[in-house]
Amino acid sequence: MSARTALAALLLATFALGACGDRPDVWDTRADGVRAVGLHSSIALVDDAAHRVLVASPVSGVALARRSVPIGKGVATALPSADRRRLFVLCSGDVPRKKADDQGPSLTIVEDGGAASRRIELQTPLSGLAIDPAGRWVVIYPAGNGRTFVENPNQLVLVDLAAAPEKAVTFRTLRSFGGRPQRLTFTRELALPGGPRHLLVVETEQDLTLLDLDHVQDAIPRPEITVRLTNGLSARAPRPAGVVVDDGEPGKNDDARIAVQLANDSNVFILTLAPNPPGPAGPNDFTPQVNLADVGGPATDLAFVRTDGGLRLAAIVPSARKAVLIEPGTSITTDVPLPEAYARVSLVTDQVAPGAPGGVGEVALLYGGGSSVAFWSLGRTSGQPYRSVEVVNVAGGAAEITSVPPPNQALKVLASPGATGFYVLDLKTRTAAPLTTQRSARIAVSPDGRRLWAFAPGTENLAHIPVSDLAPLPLPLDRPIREVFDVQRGDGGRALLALDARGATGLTLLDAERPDVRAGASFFGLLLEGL
Amino acid sequence: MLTRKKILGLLALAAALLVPATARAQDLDERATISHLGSVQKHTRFGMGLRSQWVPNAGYDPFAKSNYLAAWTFEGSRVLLARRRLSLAVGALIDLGGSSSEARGAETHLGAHRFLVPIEGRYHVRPWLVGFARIAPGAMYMTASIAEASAGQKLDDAGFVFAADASLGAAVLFDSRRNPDGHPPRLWATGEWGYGWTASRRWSFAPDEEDKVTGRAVPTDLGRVAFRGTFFRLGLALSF
Repeated sequence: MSARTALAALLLATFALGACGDRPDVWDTRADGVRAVGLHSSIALVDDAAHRVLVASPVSGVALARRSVPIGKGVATALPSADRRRLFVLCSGDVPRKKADDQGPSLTIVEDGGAASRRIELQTPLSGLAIDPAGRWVVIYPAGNGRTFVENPNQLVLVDLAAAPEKAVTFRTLRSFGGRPQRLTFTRELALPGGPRHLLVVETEQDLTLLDLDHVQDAIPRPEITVRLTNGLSARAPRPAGVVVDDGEPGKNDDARIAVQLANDSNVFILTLAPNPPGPAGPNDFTPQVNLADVGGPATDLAFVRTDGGLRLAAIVPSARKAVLIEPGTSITTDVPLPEAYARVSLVTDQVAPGAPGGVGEVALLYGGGSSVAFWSLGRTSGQPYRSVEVVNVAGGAAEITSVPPPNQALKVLASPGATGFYVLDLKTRTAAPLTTQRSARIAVSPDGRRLWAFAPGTENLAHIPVSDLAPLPLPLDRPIREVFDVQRGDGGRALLALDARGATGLTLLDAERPDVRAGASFFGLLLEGL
Repeated sequence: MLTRKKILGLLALAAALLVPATARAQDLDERATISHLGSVQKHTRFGMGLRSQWVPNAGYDPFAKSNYLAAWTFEGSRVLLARRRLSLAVGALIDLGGSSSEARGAETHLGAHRFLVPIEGRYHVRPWLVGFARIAPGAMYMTASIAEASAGQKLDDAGFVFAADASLGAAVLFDSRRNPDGHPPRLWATGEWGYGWTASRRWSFAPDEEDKVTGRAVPTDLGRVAFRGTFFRLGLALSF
């Protein structure tokens, strides 16, 4: 080889060297805008650009384990399970799929701590995710922001988390009369005529569908039951706005009920899941019998309650400043005037009088009104409905209510968006302790029920509030806080993770039980790690 | 900072100079012959050049958009032994390398500096053409910073690791081979290909100053880094 040839080869190789070997694309993506989800003993940072979830788990002291769990491309939804032991990440994959190696849609299930994960491949990119509070089922459905050219909004993908992987996924297309799913509700186990059942209740814009989850994987699957909601007097389609479910009396299997409130109608529908009528057996072993009750205005919340007169459906009608008690068998209604236009109702009997015999002394909390909440003692309803309501004034109102977990389950945190303060309501003493903030704050309740965290998103203001004495301890972090998470630590203690979403995400780790900023630790650039 | 475009331009310039020089050298009066190389072989040499290394390592990704790492080379060597066409030289070499980039929106800077002791066997194919094989053990000093917004200040890391190069190359005498018994300055062009290796080290980035909130900043762990890969070096040297 001549010197000239050798030099030419050297130059060529050098050019080739400079031209090849780019780094992975993730380094050219930005890491801001990450979604954070608090789990039982960790937080999950959903890093869509890097196709992963970074799981950070406090181990002991100020040690923080970090694990990177791969997920699919294009995160559509990320939700935790009810017990926060799992994170479900729904991904759309490459849309449209043009190459053989393009990624399809998938659901990744990440266990708390990130030590294990499971990925389920799907056929169609859907964006809605409903999770069974009991942890058995996940339903994926079109949420209306799909990315495919043609989408069937009534197509459901049911994932049985208890089944073997090859049998876990079932596809169902709901029979439709023109509606599309708006809200999915999993019932707890109901005693139905054919035995105990778990139902999926699907609300569309105009009707209701019941799906028997215990028979959805049968060789010949049982069809869903569609209940068309109409009062027979108007062509206008009533729009479901929520359901409540009651299993009925213990030992009976023909009195489970589903009540439906409507957004644009003063009627409330009550479906009693009764045995099939005599005659040829239908594919399902129960039949919904429909009752209607006019409550005088659109109901904004419902609850099945036990009064001294028996089971009633309580409907809250703020437009008429009243609650209505409906006898579910006869649809006979009793109006209970309310001092304010409350919008929501929550049963608090177990918190007020745990272990009280059923049917006597049930108490509901009414909230979502202007400047008060009210205790509604349902055991004293007959004959003296008005006097059964006891008002507790809360200036600024209580649009949102957060329960404090045991051992302080008798406490509720009342707050309203934009308000400079909140209340801690004691259900036993029926008192509301006000706590004021300099600016609008968010409240996080610790899962062990022992403390509250107040912080103003985007600012450095953080305070620790023990529920034992409600004495706030300021903990200024000198960095903007986006969210805080109180999670179980690996050594059995509890840790507070205050997230700073600037840049590639930082966080401040404190001992939640003995918070001291100077004894904590700071972590920076978390989303630069593990790539 | 060297961009890829600048480096390729320099390489092209070196080639333009080197190739005609090689041809010219053949036409010169060859006072020095293979049997009497004199100071053409036994000399002290100082040189500088440009090293281009391919670093296919994940730990390098935050600091460059490609796997290419450029470094300026400054070296000196002295022939200690010579026998016929063969000679052995020992010297010192510094590669001053660096790169700047962005990592997920954060500005990053890297310095990767080698301090090596080259031990070089040379063979005179012609009086004007020397082939050589070189091993160069030493150390690399790596220093890096990330302007990470969540820290509010730069995160830094620095440290030494063991490093070594093994390479083959050629040096071409540009012009004068006169006066082999004296030590006139002679200009050489060198080209070299080889493999650069370093021990690996874990990137651990911490703020310069104490964290003003907790006082304890846990280092950001970017995994392990090792600067291993093939490299080229082109340079010019003066011998005396």
